[in-house]
Amino acid sequence: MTDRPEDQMPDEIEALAAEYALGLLDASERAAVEARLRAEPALARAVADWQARFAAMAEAEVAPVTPPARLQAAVEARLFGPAPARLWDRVAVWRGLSALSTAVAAVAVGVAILPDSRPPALVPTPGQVPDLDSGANPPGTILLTHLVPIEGSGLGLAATRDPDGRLQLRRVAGGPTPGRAQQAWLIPGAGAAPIPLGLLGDEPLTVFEPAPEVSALFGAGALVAISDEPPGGSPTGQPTGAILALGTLVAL
Amino acid sequence: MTDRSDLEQLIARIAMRDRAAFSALYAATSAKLFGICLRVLRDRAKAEDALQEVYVKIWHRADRYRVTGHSPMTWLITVARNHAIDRLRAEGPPTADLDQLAPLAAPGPSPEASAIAASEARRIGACLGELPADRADAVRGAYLEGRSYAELAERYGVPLNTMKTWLRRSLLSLKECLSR
Repeated sequence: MTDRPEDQMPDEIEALAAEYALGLLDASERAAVEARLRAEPALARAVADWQARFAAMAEAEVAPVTPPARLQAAVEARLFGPAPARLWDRVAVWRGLSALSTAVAAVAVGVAILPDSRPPALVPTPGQVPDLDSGANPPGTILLTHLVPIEGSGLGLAATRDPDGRLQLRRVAGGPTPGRAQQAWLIPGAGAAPIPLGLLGDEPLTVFEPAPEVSALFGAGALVAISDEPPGGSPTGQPTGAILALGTLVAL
Repeated sequence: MTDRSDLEQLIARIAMRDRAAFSALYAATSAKLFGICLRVLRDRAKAEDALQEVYVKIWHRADRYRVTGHSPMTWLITVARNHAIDRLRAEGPPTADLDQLAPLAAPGPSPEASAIAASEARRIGACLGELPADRADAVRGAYLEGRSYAELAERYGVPLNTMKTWLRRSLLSLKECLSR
């Protein structure tokens, strides 16, 4: 008797297929079966049938055990990035974050948050109450905020919008994420779609010079946010990853 | 319980990168697959890791589900079992990969084969019961505990070749019973 397939008895094919499906073959036997699978539909079918039988055995005999709830979140985070990504889609959440960040900004401004900020004149007088609801401001207005870490990202930034329209973002906590991009966005008002401003560099200070039409949208009450994105930035033009830091601009 | 066509639809949607379908499939099947990971690995932490990796595989391979010609539960259980066995035998060669079976589908996937297997499956408990108890346990040991012939031979105190003959005969009896 030879090993040529056409000489093998049906029982031999069945037993071999079952052994293969069970993982009982050694490496060379296994490689031999795999080499035959493409050419021999009968063998491939026998393997598939045994896989179905053994799976049925497991389905019948192994009791289900509910896994801990955190596993689903862990799997989805592995596949889709951190869970807060979906927050971007929800206007209501933006409104909530906006209120939160307004409160934080008011506190932060009162405490003088920019230890190494370039023009020192930007540090407000303690006790000064920023006018948060003044809406759009003339281009010459100085705007500033502190971007607070969201969801434990550890990333914090100081932001100033200079009279000439330049936006300076300086990391004061955290750093770049290896293998990922940190993208800056302007949200002109609650519920408005985020407008991409650019990617933060690896250095602490990044300066953006927004186009005039974007510059015109800066004003007190507008939000500046940083999102976690794939290298090169969001492929969609809208945030796709988690919100890392967020702040509401106030007029100086 | 989610039935076969529901699961097939979910897998098809996952192949199109539908995250909601993925969540629904996880909800419907994770307890079963976690039970299998636990049974194979006998360690909760390892089973938790394995389960995560199994669902990552399911997400990435959903587009290849159809060509295997399997029912959804056969596919899901086989992915989970083979992955858990590979974890168990961390140094050994990987277990039969379902993708090896792609050619099964290429010339015509034989949906009847999986339907036949599915109907046989309902009787598998009874057919295992027709085998002598230790031989049925040897089959379970190979599938659910990843036992090799050498380990099975040691467990049952028989020479290696005897073990092989034994198990092969048991498998053929099982097949014969199922196709009755």
